[in-house]
Amino acid sequence: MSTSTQELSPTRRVAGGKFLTFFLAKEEYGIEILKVQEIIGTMAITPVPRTPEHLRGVINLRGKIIPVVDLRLKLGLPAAEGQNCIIVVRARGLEIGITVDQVSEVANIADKDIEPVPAFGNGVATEDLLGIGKTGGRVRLLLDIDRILSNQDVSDLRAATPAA
Amino acid sequence: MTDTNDSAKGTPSVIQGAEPLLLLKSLVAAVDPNDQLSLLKLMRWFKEIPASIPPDTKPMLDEARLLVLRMTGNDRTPEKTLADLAALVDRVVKSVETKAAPPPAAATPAPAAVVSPEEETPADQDRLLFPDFIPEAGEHLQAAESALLTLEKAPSDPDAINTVFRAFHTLKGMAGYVHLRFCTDLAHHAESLLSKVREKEMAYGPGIADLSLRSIDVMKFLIESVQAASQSGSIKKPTGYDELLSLLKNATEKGVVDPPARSVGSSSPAPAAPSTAAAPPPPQAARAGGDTNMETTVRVRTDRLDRLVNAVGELVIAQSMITQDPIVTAPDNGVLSRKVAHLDRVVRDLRDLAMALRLVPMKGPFQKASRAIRDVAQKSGKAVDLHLYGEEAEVDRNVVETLDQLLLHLVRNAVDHGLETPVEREQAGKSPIGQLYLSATHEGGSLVVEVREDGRGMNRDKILKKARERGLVPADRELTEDEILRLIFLPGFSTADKVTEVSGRGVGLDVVKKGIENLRGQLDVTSKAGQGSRFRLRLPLTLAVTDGMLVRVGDQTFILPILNIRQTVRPEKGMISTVTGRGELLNLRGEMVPIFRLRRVLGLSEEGTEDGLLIIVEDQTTPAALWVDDLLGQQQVVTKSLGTWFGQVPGVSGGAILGDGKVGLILDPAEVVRLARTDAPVPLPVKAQLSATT
Repeated sequence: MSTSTQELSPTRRVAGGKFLTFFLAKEEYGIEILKVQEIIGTMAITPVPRTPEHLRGVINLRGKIIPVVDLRLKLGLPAAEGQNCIIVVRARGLEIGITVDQVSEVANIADKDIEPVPAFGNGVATEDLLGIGKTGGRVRLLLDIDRILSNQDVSDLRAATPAA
Repeated sequence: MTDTNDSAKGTPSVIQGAEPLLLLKSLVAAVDPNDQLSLLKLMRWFKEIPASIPPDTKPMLDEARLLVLRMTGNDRTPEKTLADLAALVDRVVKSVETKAAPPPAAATPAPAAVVSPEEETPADQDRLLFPDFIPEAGEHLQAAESALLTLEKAPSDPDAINTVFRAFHTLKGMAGYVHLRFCTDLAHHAESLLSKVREKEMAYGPGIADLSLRSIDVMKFLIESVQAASQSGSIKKPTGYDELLSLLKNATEKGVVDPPARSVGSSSPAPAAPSTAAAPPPPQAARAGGDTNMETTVRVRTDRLDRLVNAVGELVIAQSMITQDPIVTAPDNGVLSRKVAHLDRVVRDLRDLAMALRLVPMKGPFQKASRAIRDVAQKSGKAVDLHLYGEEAEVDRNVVETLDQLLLHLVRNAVDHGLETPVEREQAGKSPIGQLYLSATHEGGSLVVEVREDGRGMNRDKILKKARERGLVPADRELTEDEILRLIFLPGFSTADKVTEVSGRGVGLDVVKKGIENLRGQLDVTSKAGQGSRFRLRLPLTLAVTDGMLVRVGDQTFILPILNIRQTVRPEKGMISTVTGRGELLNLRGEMVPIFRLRRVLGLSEEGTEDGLLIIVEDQTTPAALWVDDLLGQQQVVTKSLGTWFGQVPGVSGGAILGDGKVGLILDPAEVVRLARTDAPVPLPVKAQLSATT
């Protein structure tokens, strides 16, 4: 698809560039900066009943109602109190908020510093990762946010609804 | 109009507007995406588009300009963009050339060519004009339809004849302009026939009425095909098209129409006598009078209108946040609060105005209903006198779209099941002509639409028997008269003894009821055996703003639409009894109403639920009581969708921004009750009440 002049190795699924990094359960993750709309601080989240647990609810983003996903729960990490940061991303053409523990920085990760994701065997979900960035001795897990926020949840939701 | 003229590209530049386009073409051919200068030359061309270029190429040229702009930016695939651009410019040049070519055959409809090709493929430059053609054609058809219905009552009304004639005449011109052959030919033949009526060479009668209505139907179908083909594809010839054309042509040539089989005792007078009885006013004068009544209107795209209404909704909420701010309400801030009060009034006026922009009269739905009544009456051999009231009552166009279908369903039912045949009516001692009343009125903030007839009324015994047969009611349960009547709204209930072409389509009144509820409205029925039935719809005037009851459930605020609420009850001792230790029943003046605790239904913590209030809502046929912790008051809220990502959340119909800036969820009471009924006691793990604020 990409006709860019740079040659990409077939195993690597993300090009180098700027990434917004943040912490989740002491691990550092990154999202391509192009996907990030904005970062908002404290905001009341309205829970939506009868939805999967990782759907934290909805917020009022300047008059628009957008869903918020608890990224910890979504990735299978333990829940945490006191998260105070919502990153609004644009995934699949929709604005969606994700809660993270703490935003870290905007990091420049060059192409050569991105490693393909090694296979871990069962138990470790690697399909949500685009690659592993290593700069300055830090390891950052680069997330495929489009995939993570696919509407799989929504179809789950519909399936859970008893038929009329 | 397939590409018949293969005129070689680069024909001499005598064609108007072609010369600058050929220059554009050469510029594009010479351009190198990496050479800024060549791009600049290209940009310059777009800056000064010569006036001689036909205006209808503008959309394509705009698109081309965007492609050039993209190349000047950091385009990753300049080669592809350039190829796209070259193809686009080619198309523009070609469209101008074909336009200048001698007018294609279809512009002048071949007279009496009754066997036409099976389909036609519009040319690209014509497709560009479809967005203008389609709505306008729709308006003309609607005008013609409305006039034809007038003619049903007053067959000699010259004004109405003129309207129908003009509609087809204009359609012919418009369709010819965009080279739609099927539409042009049909309009031509219909026009010819009607011109004979207009010139009083033929009398207007049922035969002509039928042909005209059929022409409108086929034309509507064609316009729909045109719409479907507005991007690509072809327009297929509708079935019966040639036959209709032959009929129209024969009628015009012979000057008579073979009358079709017609319903007994139609209320329109005998078609035999030509129009001398009513002494019609001269058509000229009538037309002039009609035209001065036309209101000045502007066409606005509906999505802009929707955005405006939403934005004003936001403004209202933002304003109410300011009004309630402690700084404003503080007693020592008189000056500020006066200013805010002034702003408040202005905002409210603006809101009313914005809402009014989207209101449309009920005339449209009523017209469709009248048409349906006529058709059904004819098919089922009933004679109907239709009385319309309140066509001018207005309602949000977003409501109308759904209401249309529901109303059609109700009137079809009324004629097919409600009214008796003329013979049956006479045997029952009634006039052979059934009376059908269709009315719309405003009551408070809602629109009330009634469909009432003086037919046979509903047979409660029959309803109850059928409901028991289908297992909808336990055999031993006693029901009140009203309860029996409301059984007809249950899914899977239909009293029609036979499936008819008209109503037996497997959808029943439950669909209508559900549809009305989706519009946050209510549907009631009353009926007296032998005297007829009445269906009454109550709908909010607009869906953008809902009158909501704010309730507290646990520590969350939910909104219940007021229209769905029958009453609220503060339960006293002795009013509530338990059933097998788990279910609860409310004794509401002798009526036993099941209670559903919202905390449980919504999966919230049930700790500390001592006091509470009961909100009585209607579910299908029976009331249900929803237990909430507190009432927080009434408020108008701007309803918003939770977004496509969420899809349908069970029990929740949307969200609204509350006065404190938080999102409140709007509950759908019927859905909530349905959930509660189908639920295992606690379906999902209690959701943690985490919030980023804490």
